[in-house]
Amino acid sequence: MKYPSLKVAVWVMITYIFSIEVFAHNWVITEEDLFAEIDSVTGVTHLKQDLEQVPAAITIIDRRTIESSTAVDLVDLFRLVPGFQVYSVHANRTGVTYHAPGGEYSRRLEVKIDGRSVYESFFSSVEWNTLGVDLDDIEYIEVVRGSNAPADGSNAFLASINIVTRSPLTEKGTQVKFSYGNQGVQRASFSHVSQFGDLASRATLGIKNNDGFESFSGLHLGEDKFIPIDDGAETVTVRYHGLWTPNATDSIDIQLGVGETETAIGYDAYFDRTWDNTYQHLSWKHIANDWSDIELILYHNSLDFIDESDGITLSRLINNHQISEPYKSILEAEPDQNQWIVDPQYFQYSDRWDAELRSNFYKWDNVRLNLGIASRYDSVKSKQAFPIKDEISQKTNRGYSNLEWTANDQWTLNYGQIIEKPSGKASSSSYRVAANYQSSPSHMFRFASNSSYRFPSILESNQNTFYDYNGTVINYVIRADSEVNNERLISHEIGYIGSFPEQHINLDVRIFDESFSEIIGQRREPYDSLTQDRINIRDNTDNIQLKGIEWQLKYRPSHKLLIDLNHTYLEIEGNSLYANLPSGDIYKSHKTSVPKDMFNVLLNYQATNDWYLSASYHYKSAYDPNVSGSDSKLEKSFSRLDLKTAKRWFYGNNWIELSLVAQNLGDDYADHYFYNIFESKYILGIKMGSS
Amino acid sequence: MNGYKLKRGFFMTLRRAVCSPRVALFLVFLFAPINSYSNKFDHALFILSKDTPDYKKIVNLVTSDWKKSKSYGYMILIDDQSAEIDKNLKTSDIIITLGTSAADKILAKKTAQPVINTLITQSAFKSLADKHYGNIPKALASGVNPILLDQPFERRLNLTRRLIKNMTDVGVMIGPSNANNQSFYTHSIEELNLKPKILLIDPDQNPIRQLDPVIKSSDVFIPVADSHLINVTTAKWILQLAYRHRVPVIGYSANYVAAGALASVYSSPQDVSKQTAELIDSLLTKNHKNQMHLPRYCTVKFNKTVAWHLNLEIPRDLEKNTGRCDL
Repeated sequence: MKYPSLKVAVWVMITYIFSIEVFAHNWVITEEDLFAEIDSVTGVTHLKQDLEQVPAAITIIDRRTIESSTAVDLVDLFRLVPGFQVYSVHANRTGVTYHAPGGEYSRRLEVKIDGRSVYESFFSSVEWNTLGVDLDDIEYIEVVRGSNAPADGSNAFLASINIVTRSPLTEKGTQVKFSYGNQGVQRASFSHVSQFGDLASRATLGIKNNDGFESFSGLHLGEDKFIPIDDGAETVTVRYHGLWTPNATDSIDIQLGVGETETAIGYDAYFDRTWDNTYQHLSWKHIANDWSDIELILYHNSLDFIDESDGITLSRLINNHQISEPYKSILEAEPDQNQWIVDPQYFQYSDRWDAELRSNFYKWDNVRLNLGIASRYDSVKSKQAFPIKDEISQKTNRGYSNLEWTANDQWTLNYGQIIEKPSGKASSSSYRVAANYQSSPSHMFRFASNSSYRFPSILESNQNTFYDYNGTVINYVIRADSEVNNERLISHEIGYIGSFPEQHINLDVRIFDESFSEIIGQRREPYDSLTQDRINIRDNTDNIQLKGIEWQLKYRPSHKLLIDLNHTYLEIEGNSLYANLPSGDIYKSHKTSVPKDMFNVLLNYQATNDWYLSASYHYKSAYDPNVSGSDSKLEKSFSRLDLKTAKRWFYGNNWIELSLVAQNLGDDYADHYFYNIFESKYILGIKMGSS
Repeated sequence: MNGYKLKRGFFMTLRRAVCSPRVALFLVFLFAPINSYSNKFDHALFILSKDTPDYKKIVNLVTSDWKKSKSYGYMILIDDQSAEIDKNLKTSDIIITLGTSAADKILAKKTAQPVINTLITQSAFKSLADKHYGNIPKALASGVNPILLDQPFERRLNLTRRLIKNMTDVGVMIGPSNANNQSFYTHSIEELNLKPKILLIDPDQNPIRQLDPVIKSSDVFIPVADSHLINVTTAKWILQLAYRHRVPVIGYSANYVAAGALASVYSSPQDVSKQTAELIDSLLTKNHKNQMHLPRYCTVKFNKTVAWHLNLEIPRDLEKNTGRCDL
């Protein structure tokens, strides 16, 4: 099927912007002016919709919840979202996933900061440490629970997160923050808001260090184990956000950032990785008239990462690895025994350019329509992952539309579809259909189905990692199958939203049935070489069926008390093709690859003016990370209790806040892998602000 | 010549006086004709500006107990169904329009039956009365009964006073549609011994530079509803700047509260339908006076997150849905 050229579509939309009358000078105010909708939830379909109208389950983590929480890092907040699992691959490599197993690189979430997609092109995962977004930078987070591919594209396969940062308009003056805690936690941040002529600006500088987890020493599965862990991190980020509003109908946002993170990579064996990232983001919103608006979004993300290790020389290879004859004798005869087989340093980069133009139309009485077109250019470079081509790029065009039809007082229907076309590959289309039934002002039921595709990441479809000597492959680490297909998800859900203003309670329930097929993982097959008899292959190896129920309850009787509860119950079935061997295929079951139960409660009480007390309790049942097939099986469920207290004092235009956070009071627990021991963490913070 | 000038000046003054909302209301009460309609009707005709659930909901609420306790028949038409409207006008005993567009269609026909214009703003009704009857009193004298949708500004001020103690400076934003009423807002605030800071927003200039100094120096900020575009394009900046300066915003709709205003007082569908149903019954009484009806009921809604941010306690007695407005 041939789709209209992107250039033509862009031209049509730009012509449309400049051809419409902005202010009709009609000074009569009608009922429609009074009912005008002000920007509300937009993350699901990009349309202005109330929670009762959206075609998916939504969790909003607002400013009050963020300040009430016991979170120290951004990722801690996702424990407040039902169905979300937060885990540590190591202390500074956090995985966040929704329902499905996450793995070392959780690759199936769309994560955006103010509409800019931040999952990187290489692994299609999010490097949370490099984002540079502090809790104080966030206005609110909008989480779409369930696939949002019809609006956000292929990588919103499981769910979609939009982190909305604080506008330069919502703050004033300067703020400085220092935190100090055990486990080497040291943090400092500085932010300043100013007005340069018509440009409102907010600049932030953040520095943070931590030592990571302690080395593991103890019993595991009846054996004494010692695993040295070196997963600390140092991060420096600088961010700038500018807002220019030349008139009432146009606003232009400019965001720039640069950062560096020194950390480690790997699990149970570590080597150094340095991330250097920059981004430039521009968005222009034009409210064209009473019934439409248009938004142009342009951004560029660049992420360089340098991996450093001791490397492997030829002599070290011979001495430390079992090499069969006659290869061993050939290698020993080589005069230069110090030549590198595995380099001590590998430079890699991941680069993305994205342009998106979208428009919302509210012209019709019962219909709201959203149209968008976009083009993305991803390029990655890695001598390690792609030793032959070195640099690989991919252009992807996409066009989407979401439609909301209010059929009557009780029924609202939504339909959304996206068509994505990567260069050199067939196009695919994801869609969602939903019917929301409002039986009364307090009760809304949602029935929705979703069919989504996810394209393989550049790494998943192109990886070919091997180490050779004079053209002879010594170690073939992994290669991609030549025909890796798109991943597929078909899901059905019944949702319920109950609003009980008299009781100050909001309840959100989602019952779901999600069927994943052609999920990309790793299989093994026989391979005869100097050092190995098997090779790992990236391929469509997994099929998973997930069923369950999740709910969240928010109780806010007054501005003094907040209680948020959520619970998830998951049942998983399916298997993973572990190996194709001459003796037959070997499959691993997914039966224990996700926690069956997750529960979280957050309680915040404002004792007196500006003195806050918070407590949160999190429970996760046992599961097997099922990534390496090693002995990493987690046998115990865990729970953790976090406490926080904070007090703020005001002195004229200045204020000072002291806070103490204690995470995981009580026994230590193993986070994701048995050797990641999460000990009690205490962080003392001081914040000062001046306007 | 002098006489002509005098005559012209007198009529200009009279016209201005009649067009002033307060004087108009007074005159309406003074000279409003006593209803002479039959005190019984069989059939009502509802004309909707739009075929949307919001409008239909009000009809459903108005007619909810008609089948049980009354024997009224009724029909619902959309204002673009011209042929159907003409056909049913003659057989209807009362016409109820919902929205400005439907009111425009029906007032143009100058029907003999009593007309209730509901879901209509004061601004829109004045415009239609001028257009079809010359002025408001003539429209009322012809049997038109508007139920105004916009809550009086005084109610927003009263809500503000009950929420925020020790306030002195009241910031108000008005748009081009309300430019001529600037003195009304100034006097309303001054009557309460408060200091008004009125901003007439210019949509062609940077809204933030206009809003920031006013919000910054106010104890509370009250945006007045204007055209859709002004409302939508300024709301986001008002709410963000108010957050920055910790200034409460008192809005005029549920949407404003959802977006971040501390509170709003507005007419909900339940409020509108309740008053409409009562007015229909009232039309059947002999002593009914045709008049402009201010909204009798109101809904007050709060944003608890904003209250938390501002460290404000919301009086429990203020939070209510659909009730006689005691603000």
